[in-house]
Amino acid sequence: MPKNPAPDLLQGTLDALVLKVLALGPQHGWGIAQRIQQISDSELRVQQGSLYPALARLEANGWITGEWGTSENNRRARFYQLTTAGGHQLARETEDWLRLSAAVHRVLTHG
Amino acid sequence: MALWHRLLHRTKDLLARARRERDLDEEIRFHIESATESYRERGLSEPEARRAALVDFGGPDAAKEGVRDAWAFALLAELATDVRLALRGLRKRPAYAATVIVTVLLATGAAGAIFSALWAVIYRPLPYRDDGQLLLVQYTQRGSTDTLGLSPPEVADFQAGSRSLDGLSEYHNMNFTLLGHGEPRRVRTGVVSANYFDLLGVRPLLGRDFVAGDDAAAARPVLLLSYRFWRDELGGDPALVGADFTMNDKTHTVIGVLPPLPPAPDENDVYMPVAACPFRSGEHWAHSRVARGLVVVARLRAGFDAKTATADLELLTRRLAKSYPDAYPERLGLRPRLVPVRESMTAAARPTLWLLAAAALTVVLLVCANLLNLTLAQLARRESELALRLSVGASRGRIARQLATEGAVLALIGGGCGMLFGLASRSLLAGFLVRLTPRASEIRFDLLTVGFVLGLSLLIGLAIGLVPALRRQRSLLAALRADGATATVGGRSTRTRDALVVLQVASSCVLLIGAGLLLRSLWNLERVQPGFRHPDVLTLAAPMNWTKYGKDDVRLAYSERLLQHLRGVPGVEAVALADNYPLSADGLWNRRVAIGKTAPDPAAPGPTADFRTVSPEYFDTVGIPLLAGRQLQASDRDAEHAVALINATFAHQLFGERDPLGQLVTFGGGTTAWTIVGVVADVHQRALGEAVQPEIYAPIALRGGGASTVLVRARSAAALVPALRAAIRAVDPEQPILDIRTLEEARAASLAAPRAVAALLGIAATLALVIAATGLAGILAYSLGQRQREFGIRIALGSTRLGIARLVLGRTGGLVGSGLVLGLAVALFTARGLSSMLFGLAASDPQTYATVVAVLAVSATVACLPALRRAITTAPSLALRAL
Repeated sequence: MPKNPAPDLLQGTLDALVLKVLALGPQHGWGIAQRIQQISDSELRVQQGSLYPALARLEANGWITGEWGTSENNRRARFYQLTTAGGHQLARETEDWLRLSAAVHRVLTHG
Repeated sequence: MALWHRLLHRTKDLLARARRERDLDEEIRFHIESATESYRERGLSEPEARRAALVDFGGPDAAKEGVRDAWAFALLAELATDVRLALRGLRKRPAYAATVIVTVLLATGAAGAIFSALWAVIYRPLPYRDDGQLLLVQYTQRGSTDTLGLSPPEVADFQAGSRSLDGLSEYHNMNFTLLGHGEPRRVRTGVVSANYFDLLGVRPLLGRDFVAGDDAAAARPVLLLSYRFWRDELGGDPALVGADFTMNDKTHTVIGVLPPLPPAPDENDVYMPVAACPFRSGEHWAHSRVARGLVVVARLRAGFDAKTATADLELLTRRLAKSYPDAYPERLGLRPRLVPVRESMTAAARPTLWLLAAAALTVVLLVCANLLNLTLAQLARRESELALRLSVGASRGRIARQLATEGAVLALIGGGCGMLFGLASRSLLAGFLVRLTPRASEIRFDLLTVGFVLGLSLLIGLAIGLVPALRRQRSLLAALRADGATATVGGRSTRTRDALVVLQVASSCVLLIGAGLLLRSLWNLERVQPGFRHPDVLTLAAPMNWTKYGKDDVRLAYSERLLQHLRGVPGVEAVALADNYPLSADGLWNRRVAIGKTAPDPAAPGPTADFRTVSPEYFDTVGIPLLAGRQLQASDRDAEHAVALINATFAHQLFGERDPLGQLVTFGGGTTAWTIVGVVADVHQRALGEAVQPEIYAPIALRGGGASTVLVRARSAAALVPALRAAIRAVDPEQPILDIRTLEEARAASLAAPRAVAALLGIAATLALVIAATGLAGILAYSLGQRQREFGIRIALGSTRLGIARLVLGRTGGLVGSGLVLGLAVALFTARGLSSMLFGLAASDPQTYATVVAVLAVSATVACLPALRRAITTAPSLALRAL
């Protein structure tokens, strides 16, 4: 059963997370959702339905590409893969996020 | 902007959408099933696991919506990017963009103008109801191409007796004076039966149409105003409906105003019913069965076609001939004929219009070929840029779409400007066509034409955008594989460009030959001597009022007074009366003629001649030299000893070597035997391009006493017009005076059509030549540029400059040669269609063809000189360094 509701993820953040997951290797949609949960120690639970629009957006921007393949249990699934451009985008977004969070951290822990 | 682009995508989208939806479905299903399985592994039952998975997922429908939104947004974003990139790319290559825009502009503008003309004249229905069913009813006679109208009793008979025609209506036109509401005006009046406009399906703009009652003998005369006359001459005042005007000493009440109509059968200012026309209702005309001057319009009854209707009328004619044999003499061989109204209005213009359409099509093809070549060359230049984009991850389809967008954007800009160009040339075209068809006034640059121009530009954009994109794959790979500088001499890329060059040369060849033939024909026509010595002679139409001057001697006295008054005008050197002036083919009488006292059988084949009526001063006034015998004199008025002059052609054709002087000739259907007292030189009475007919000139004294054309020779005749008018009015204040022009103007008018066609085609051909030559130069520059290294190597290895030149010229020569051969073949085949427009030369005139080949060869040589020079002067070291 899901734990207490996780913090809401902004659209842009979701994009970055997906990119990061794919940087670790090609994955299908379900797999991406699992990975995000796994790596974040279950802190982040993606609203799985919002995953697919995100994937479509990322694909349209050319940051990921999708291809049909076979899953671990021999079922047809669509696998996504990070592109070079996607890699650059990920780096940009990571940097932005870190800067932003550091700034917020400074403000919140001031005084 | 790129409408087509969006359209193409929409279609592709629709097809791909179904598949994508299915894929999305499957993907989401996989996700949910995987989630369900993972819950089941944790021990939940199947339904519980599934519910948990769905809760985790959220709504699959919402997800799908989100994905669809993302797709749509991506599409729009891509399109916007495409257009933006396209514009940016074009700004970087202004020369290329400008060339494309200008050539598309010219091609689409010209094509648009010609399309609008074709549509308006040939395809658009007339502004009449069911115009396909409207027919003109005429009579043809044996041995003559002139058609006759119907006589008033015949109209009534046909109306009553024909089963196949629904309503017959008559028309003729006259000139009357309109008095009241301002100064007296001379108005062209259409005299029509009361049902005329109803038959045509024309409803008045204001007021009412004629009704049957208006045509009754004792009816109060009424008038319908034409739209143009009402608006331009009378100020467009609606209060004029109901106003009274005086015409022919009768009060006419205006009952309505007509909508704008094509000027057919003639351009009329006002219309009146038959009963109101003093001539038509006069004894002489109203009951004469042989006065066949009425234009008759009829409607085909439902269920009948023209052939059945004609047969029906033939039967009727035969019945009438039995009842009134005098009116249907066997010798005339009268046969009824039905001509669709639309055909009669457009037949003269059709050949010219089709010619112009063919020329426009050729130019468009040429422009497309040229642009295609240009674009291919541009593309090759951008290969490295595109290869890079490919490597960075852009899909081929994406790049193809971008190229297509560029093409479409350029073409649409060109098309937009082309519309303005087309608008401007529309009035030129209409002005030229007005001589050939009354429908010229209907030519408009309307929405349909706009659509055509846009469609054409899109098509061109498609061609230049897609085709290069389609064949891109190989060259890209080659560019990536090698170092990008490999010269591809053979192979598909050059083949396409070569074929395009050949096509361009061929199209220019065809157009040049067409233009050349027409120009030479025009030149021949211009050199034809019309036969008269005084081209500045002024002619005026002064139609004689036959009822007013009822008898021959009265008319003769009037004519003589007229001539006397005119001679009295200071500055006038000579005056004459005649039935017609030279180069006017209206109303010529062409009859069977025979030597001797016996009239020939008009039905039997044999020589014919134009029967002319002139005052004795005619030949001196116009400047036709006397070749033998004597001139006509005022004293030649004895009907017992009728004398006449003949022209040289008559003498030659009917008398050969014999002396015609003193011989007698008689006309078919006539009783007078004319004694020939003189021979005059030939004059082109009909068109300059037609052979001179045998003509016989009889004095007016023996031919009714009057004639309707006044000819005046004076130093500055144009300045004398007011004085001449005054002189005529002094003899008869009501004498209408119209159509004032000089003989030179008549000659120019007869050449107007061939001049215009030759000019138009000449422009098209020159355009084609310029486009083809620059296209050739451009392609050569590019392809030789590619081969710089090769030339450098060749020179380094010992090839002479001559050798390089031979190589280049050989290749160019091959292309141009093939283009010429193709062009000549096509031209020979299609020029036959021009034969009817040519005068003095055949459609396969070798001189013209040879000249065109020479011109093209020279142009091609000039075009390849810059590239050749660069190839020859390639410094081997520079070229090799490029390695």
